[in-house]
Amino acid sequence: VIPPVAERFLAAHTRAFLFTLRADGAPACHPMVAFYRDGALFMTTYRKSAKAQNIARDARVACVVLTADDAPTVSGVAVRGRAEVVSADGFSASASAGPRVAAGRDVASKVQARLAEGKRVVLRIVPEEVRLIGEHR
Amino acid sequence: VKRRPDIRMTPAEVDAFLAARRRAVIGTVDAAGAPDGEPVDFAWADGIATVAVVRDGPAHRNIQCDTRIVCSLEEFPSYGDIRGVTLHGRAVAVADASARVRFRIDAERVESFDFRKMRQA
Repeated sequence: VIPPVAERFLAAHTRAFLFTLRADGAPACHPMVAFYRDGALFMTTYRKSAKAQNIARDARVACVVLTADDAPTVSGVAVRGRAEVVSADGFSASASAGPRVAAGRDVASKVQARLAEGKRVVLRIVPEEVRLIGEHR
Repeated sequence: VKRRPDIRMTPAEVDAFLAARRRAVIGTVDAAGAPDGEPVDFAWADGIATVAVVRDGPAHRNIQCDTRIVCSLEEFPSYGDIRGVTLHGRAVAVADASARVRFRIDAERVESFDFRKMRQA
């Protein structure tokens, strides 16, 4: 069960860092845009990307969602779980717009087109462990 | 075949970027080999990166089991101006006398990107 304070934070923030495992078991980090919906985190990536390949090999991931990098103090939520590729049906990058996507609506349109072509995929992370970072009200 | 533009930073650009950063996000692996991550205080001086983690916190515990670490720093003023540097390497304890433990990152690989260079390509 995700604490309500964590759910509120995840619903309001999209700046995320996804952690996957490389083939040798070392950690890899990928700055992402993450959207929280229906108790899970969603993000998109290219099907052939390193992160997608890492997840195909080992689905264990962590994702840290944070306040903006110029915020006076850092707060966030760390989520750990497993990532899976899910259908892009109904996924709308522009409709899920947060501060990052709002900075580039044309980017959201391109993402949507690549999803339709199958070049990009949607990743879903269902939290198995949730940790609050910093101050939360 | 369409070639992607080279948007990597030069070594001097990486140095200047890291020198201006005070926060980073690090990734470590736990005792079971699963990844974890958290934000940390970051410092860069004389070509040496250090991060401070909470004593006995997840990152501290993980590094004690496995010193492999990834450290990501980014700047996101707008989509077209995103810049970032990622350090891949090993964490080495350098200060262990307070509530925070400071680790040096001995980087084996440095990745960087500067989206502004796409406009110049």
